Amino acid sequence: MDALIGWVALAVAVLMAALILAFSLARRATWPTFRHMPPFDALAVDLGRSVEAGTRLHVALGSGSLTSNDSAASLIGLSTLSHIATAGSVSDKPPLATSGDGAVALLAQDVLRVAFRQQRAEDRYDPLLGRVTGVGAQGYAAGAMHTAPDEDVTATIVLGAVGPEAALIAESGARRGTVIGGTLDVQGQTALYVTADHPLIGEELFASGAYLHVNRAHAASLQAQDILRWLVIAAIVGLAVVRSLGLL
Amino acid sequence: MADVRCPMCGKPNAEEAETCLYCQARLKPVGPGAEPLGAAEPSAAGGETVPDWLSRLRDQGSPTPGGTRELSGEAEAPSDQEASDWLSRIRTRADDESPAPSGSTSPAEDVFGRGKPAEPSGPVPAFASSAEEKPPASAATTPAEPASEEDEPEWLKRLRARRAVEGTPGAAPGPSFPAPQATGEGLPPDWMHAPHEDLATGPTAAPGPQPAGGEGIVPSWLSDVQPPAPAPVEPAPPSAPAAPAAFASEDDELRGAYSEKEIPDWLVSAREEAAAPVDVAGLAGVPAAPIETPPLEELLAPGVLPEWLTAGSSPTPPPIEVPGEGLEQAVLPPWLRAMRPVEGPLAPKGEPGEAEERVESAGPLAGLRGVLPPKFEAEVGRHPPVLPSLLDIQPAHAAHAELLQRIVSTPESRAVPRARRRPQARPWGGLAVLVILVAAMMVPGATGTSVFARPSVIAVETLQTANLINSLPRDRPLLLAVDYDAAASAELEAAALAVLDHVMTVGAPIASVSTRPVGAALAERLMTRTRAAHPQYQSGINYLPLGYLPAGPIGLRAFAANPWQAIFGQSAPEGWDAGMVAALHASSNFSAILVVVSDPAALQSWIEQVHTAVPSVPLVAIVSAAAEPLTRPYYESAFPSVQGMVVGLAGAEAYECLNALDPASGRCGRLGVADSMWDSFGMAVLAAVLILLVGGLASVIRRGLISMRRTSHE
Amino acid sequence: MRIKASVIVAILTGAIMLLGYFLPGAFFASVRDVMLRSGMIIGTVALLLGVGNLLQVHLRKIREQRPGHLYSIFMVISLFSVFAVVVLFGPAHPYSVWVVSEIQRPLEIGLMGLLAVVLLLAGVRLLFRRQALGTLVFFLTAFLVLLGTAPLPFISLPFLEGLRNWIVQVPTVAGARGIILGVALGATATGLRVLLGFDQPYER
Repeated sequence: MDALIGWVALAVAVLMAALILAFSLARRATWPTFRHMPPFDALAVDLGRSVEAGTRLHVALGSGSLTSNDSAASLIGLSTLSHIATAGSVSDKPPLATSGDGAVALLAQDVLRVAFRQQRAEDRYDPLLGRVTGVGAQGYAAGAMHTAPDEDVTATIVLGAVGPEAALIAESGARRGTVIGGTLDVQGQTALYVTADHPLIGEELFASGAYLHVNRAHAASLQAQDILRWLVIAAIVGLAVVRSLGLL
Repeated sequence: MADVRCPMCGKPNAEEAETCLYCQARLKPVGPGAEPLGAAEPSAAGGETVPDWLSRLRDQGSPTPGGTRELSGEAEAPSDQEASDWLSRIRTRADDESPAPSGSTSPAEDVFGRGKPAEPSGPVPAFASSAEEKPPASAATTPAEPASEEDEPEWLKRLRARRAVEGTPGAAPGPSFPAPQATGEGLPPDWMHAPHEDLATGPTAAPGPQPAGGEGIVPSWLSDVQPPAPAPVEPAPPSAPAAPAAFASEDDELRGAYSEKEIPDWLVSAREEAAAPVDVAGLAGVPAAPIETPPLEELLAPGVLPEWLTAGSSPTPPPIEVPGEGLEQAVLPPWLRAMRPVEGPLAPKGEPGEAEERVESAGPLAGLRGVLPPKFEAEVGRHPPVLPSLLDIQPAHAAHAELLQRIVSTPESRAVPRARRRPQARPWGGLAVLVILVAAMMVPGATGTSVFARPSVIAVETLQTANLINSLPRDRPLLLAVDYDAAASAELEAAALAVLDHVMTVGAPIASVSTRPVGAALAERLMTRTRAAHPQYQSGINYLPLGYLPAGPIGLRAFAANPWQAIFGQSAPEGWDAGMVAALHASSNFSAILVVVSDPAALQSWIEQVHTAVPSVPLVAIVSAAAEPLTRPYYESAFPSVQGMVVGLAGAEAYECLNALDPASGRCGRLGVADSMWDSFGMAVLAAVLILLVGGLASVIRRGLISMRRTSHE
Repeated sequence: MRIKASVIVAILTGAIMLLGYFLPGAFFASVRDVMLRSGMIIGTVALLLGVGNLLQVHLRKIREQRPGHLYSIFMVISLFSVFAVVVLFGPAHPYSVWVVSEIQRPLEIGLMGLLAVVLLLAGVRLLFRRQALGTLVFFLTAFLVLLGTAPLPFISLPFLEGLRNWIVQVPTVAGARGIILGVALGATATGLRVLLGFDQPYER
């Protein structure tokens, strides 16, 4: 049984890799069209407003590490941070990224530094714009709660590996401005659904790269995910019918 | 020596530098006596060489007696008096003469033939008033008007005389741009239609545009100096090739619009010559062949132009390359020569192409090679070519332009910007909820009552856990994985203590490990509290604390391969049982794995990394109530990975009451941690239910009232 | 196209780890084991890096005397104190356990209590802020599950408990499984982007 599961997993991975490569390398002049998602529109509005008003954006990357199961959420948070940092680096108060893991905080610093360098504003880069506010989930939440009032934050974006403690971060951010949140943890999604202005439910977090035009591979992987999702749905329904009929 | 800041990149440069060392931007604008724009401080009055014409200007307009006005990056504006002086001179001159044509050569016409507007008799034009407030950066380079009528140049006198002879001069030649629609929309006013020469070709044959509405947009002050209606424009000679139909009709239209204005002979002759072979392929009606302009040498001859145009202190520009045909070189003033475009680093090398071979024959660019012909390629979507020039696009500017392009190209946002939320003045709602919850939890303890019934039905997964613990061997250790944070210990310790107590009652050895930094301490806390009732458990004998396992799933995978090597790697601590230590060299030696988690992902890691490596070892999970929906599938699967579960406080209470429930009272005969918390837990949950009910109803009612109020206002 | 060395290393490492899972043989297994142990060390160092970054932030806050720097002073003192205790006595020593049991545990439990208050309040305001069918379903589900979880005084209503169990074990599990499937696909795609070199979070 384990061998069968292993081969199925390998097949899914190979198929997804092929789809990503095909969509990424296909010559297409326009970006693929996806359904409308208000959280990403709100992100663009908040980003512009914070730059104009000279206030700060807080990107909460969560307490997950790159070696844990929720490392994908941390990577998505970092790609979104690169887009936010590129646009926000010209602001008087550049975006701030917090994390509960040292490696993720280091990567956040690197992302911010590259964004500043691309905008020829390296002299304004501050390494502590990517920081650890606490080690562990609760420690991170306790430190990140105070980021919004201390750093003049008007928009809080929670994109990473957070659990139910995300509600504390979101509630603190909601007192100062808008909150956009998404995570892979189901408990975290529940907490953000209640507290955030624009929650991302389920795997909508993975769509951030495609909606923010990070690069074509993100759009390609989103299309590949959509195709595979339909295949999985068809497989589940089909197998359920077959099993119900007693054929399997 | 004061450093000069580059206006483009902001880096400091030497004061005498012409261009920036870092970005090659020009530090000193071209023009006689101009001050560098990025100067750190304004230069002293005597610190620079100022041309005579400029010093004269300053003397005339400077408020300081006999002093030169300092020119800094923000040069002072010409005073009202100065502006009024030259305007009044123009006005006076215009009154004496016949009305000047609109836009035709005015007393202040520059070398390109572009006329400047005469002094207004009515309201002051905007440019004059704005010039008083804030002059443009080129103010320093703008030549000043002659001081008095006596200084009027010869050429101007000659032009005026000619005008008097010719009567009303014709309309201004059209600009070098594609002829706009003569509908009056978007057209420049009449007085701007100066008989200027196209930089490449000189005055064109087509008359300039004029609004179909006539003089509707001509300022009143200029109407005094406007020429009378010009004579009808002569039609083009029949030998001239037909222009494209569209442009031909436009040309006729424009020609007709200017039929009332008298066109000077030189313009007519220029038009006739321009009617000779014209390249109409793909052009916007502008002739490609060079058109002869009135001899510029006449205008540029020494003595013709005033001193203030010819005098200058700018460095001598590079000499003009003489073409091979022996054309007479135009004598350009130094300041004009300095403005000539030079070949930059991007100049094409090797065999010169068509553009390189073409030599400009007229105008101030006469004698230069590679001057672009006035062609406009109307190819949709084609980006303009990158021309070698002194224009230095900074990487920062290019990056900003790219960012702007990206922002513009993103789909239009449909989100409605909402106002920034005001911070809450007082958290009354939170305080109220807190007070209610705390009061509810304190009631059972304060009153000593116990009104909540204990769970009477024990879940199957809990029973299976109990059965599995009962069947544990005593020669193989049980692995206790404490993978929860201290925050979840209040809920999970109840079940963990009940199960551990059962394990110690059975007598199975225990080895504890954690993938969380505080897990080792929490495991020690559990064991300390449980060992109080089971003192036979000694560390190193039948209890081995393995400590912290770093790197999450990676560490678990290594642990599954060889637990001892993953944790210690070398020798065992002193006093540890050798048999127990030997059992730790393979994960298959464990009798069972008891995982205590609050996060479903942690259980998932244990199942995927460890249980798949040793599927023969049963796995039992103690999970929080919040994690139940995501962990139950592992138990209810067709091929379950979890053989038993204890869920939340209810599961702990049920486990504690196993075989100890009193049917009569409904209470548990054996008091445990869960039992002591049960009443407070019940009160708190009931309070939460009431808060949700009341608060939810209040929210709905409040929302309805607001909607009704809004509707009634509308 | 110039390929950076870091991209090649990332791709090769990921490929070897995957091959070690799917292909039999001792070679890949041994290489994978070496990489696993190296990964454990790197993960531990990352923890220390996080502590270092935290210290750096608070030291700067103290140096610049920004609002709240007194709390930062207290944080730095407590960090070094606990570090000293655990290093001197060991993580299983009663002193270390006392720090966790009597200081950290109550603090974190208090934070979770605050979380309960925040979630309750947000749940109450949810119906006011967001009018949608999903919000109403969410609210009703939360209400019924809480009602079914709470032990009722003096009476027992098995119907409520059964309803709660059904909600938790059927629609909730189904929805959670669907989310997990989607998350798994997304995580696979994210990992493949890194393996294929499209995403390079490690170097720019």
